[in-house]
Amino acid sequence: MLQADKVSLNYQHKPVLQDLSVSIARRQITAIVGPNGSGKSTLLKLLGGLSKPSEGAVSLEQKPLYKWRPKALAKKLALLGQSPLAPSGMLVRQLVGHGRFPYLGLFNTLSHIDQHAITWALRKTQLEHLQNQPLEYLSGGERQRAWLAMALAQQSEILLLDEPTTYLDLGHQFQLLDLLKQLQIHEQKTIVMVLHDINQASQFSDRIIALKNGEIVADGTPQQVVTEQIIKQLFNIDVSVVPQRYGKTTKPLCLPIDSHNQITPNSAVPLRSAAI
Amino acid sequence: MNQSFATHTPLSTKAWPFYVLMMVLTALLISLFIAALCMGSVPLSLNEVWQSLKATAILTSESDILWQLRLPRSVLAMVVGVHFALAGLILQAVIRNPLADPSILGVNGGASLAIVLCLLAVDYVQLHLLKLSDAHFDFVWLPTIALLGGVLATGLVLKLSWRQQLQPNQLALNGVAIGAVLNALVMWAILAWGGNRTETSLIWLAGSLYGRDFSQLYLLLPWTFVGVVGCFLLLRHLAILQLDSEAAQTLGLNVKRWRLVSLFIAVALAASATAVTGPLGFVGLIVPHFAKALLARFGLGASLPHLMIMCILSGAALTLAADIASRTLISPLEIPTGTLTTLMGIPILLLLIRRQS
Ligand SMILES: Nc1ncnc2c1ncn2[C@@H]1O[C@H](COP(=O)(O)OP(=O)(O)OP(=O)(O)O)[C@@H](O)[C@H]1O
Ligand SMILES: [Mg+2]
Repeated sequence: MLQADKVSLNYQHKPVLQDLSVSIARRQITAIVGPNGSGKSTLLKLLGGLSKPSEGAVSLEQKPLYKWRPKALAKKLALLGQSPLAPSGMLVRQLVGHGRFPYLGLFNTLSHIDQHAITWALRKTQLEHLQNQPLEYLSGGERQRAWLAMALAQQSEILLLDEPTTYLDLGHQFQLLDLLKQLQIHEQKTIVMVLHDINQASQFSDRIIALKNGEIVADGTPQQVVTEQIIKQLFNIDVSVVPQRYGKTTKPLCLPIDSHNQITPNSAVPLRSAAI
Repeated sequence: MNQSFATHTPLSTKAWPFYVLMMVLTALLISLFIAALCMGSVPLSLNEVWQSLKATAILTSESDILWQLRLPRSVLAMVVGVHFALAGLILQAVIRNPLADPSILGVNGGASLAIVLCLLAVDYVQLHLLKLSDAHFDFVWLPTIALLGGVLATGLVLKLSWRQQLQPNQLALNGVAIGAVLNALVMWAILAWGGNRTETSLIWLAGSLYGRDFSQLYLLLPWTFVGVVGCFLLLRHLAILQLDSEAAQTLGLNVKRWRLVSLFIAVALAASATAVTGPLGFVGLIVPHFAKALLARFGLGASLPHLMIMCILSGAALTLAADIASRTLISPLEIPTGTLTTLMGIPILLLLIRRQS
């Protein structure tokens, strides 16, 4: 339903994305992976309508994004940037409340439904106890969750998230990804996220898009994308890929090969997870 | 997900500290206003003030002082304070910089240059071209001219920043640059051709309420209405504009449009006030910070509706207090009110900031 059709984008004549087409499927979790500067954030912003492609078009439900009224689009699609900024003194709950902006007219204030959505978002991100704290008193991870809560409060069908796990500790990383999974299953959300950890992408997404130098290197299920050749092509490192069971499903797990000691980790006892 | 915080903590937006704060400030403002009517080179008692206010016709010298001088001047001081404070609040939100104030868009520079050039041109035409012995100038026109100058200068700043989507940094840089050029031109014009207008120009530049009456107040009130109502309607958009522009855009805000609308309201407030009193230094910069610090001390978040009310009350109070001081400290002489707003405002601000951290 969200579609980029042969889009290219240049920053000051420097091509960042070239002739790229993706179609995001409804109710799927799609992960975008790739090295730094490969154009992941740029692609996400294009999909979210934050920037216009130099060529090609992005459309949602067959209608080009620029034809959507901004507020109508914001009800369909929420985007959480890589490093958003808020003014000092803003409370967590106020920030999350801004997620309701697309639902408000010029004159009305937050209704019961809005408050409900805000509280729900705060609860899902485990921030209820911090809701009356100014944002600047929060830790990096808590702040990141506050911004996620704002995006959740938008209650849009599509969530576009740029590195949502960056500042989070391991526990919160998994809780967040688990929350996204729940939202996908129980609330029929469509999620597109940029992730750096290939194994998290593999474990939690239905589809992985691998970018390098603004071009799609691979696009498919984790099994299709997380292979030794593609990882080598993307990040120029040697890995060994082993199957790993997560509950009922089996997903590829990739482990870097230590070239000095030539130890290939055993799949049964993974010594190190590859945080790429 | 871990549901350990699922127990619903009710939102404690304690309303009463804010209302208490509001009452205290209102009481302060009313006392200041009464003081402003009583105090001056001719002290009036409360009773005299009351009698004069009740009188329908101006009969006594007391009622003359009150109706012709103190009442319009004090009301004007408060209104102008509100103008600068709200303009500062809006600009700090839109420009996303705590140091933003009306001068950052070239309002002061434009208004000053227009005034000075106008004074000089009228003198020149009358003395040299018409060969009149004594130059005459109708001061009623000054506010309109200043407004025009302020709006033109801001227009230029906006024009220069237009291609960059009115980005805050661009606005601030262009504004500071244009402002510096305009101020340099003002000084040059005064020094080179000031002649017998040097004093008038300098007094206006220092920001003063001397000799202002109801006609200036009437000139200002339509802008007050536009500004206050506009600001109030704008609060939610301003709150979103405070976030960075990408976040604002993803929330469905047309960022460029609302930046422009907000800037227009801020400029209307600042330029019209500057037109009447000259630039009152730092009111627009200090009052929003003062309001924020006050709210923070009472454990309240910086919600914009609260901030707006605080700005209105404390902006009016600060300017009125400065004006009382300007009339009374070295009475019968006057210190320009603009000088005093700066001298009073900065220490208050520094104190609050120190306390806060
Ligand atoms: N506003 C901009 N102006 C100019 N060039 C830009 C701009 N934003 C991004 N670029 C360039 O576009 C390329 C892709 O940037 P992008 O932010 O999409 O990378 P990314 O894949 O998200 O990287 P990272 O993993 O570091 O977040 C980079 O080479 C970057 O230098
Ligand atoms: Mg990025």
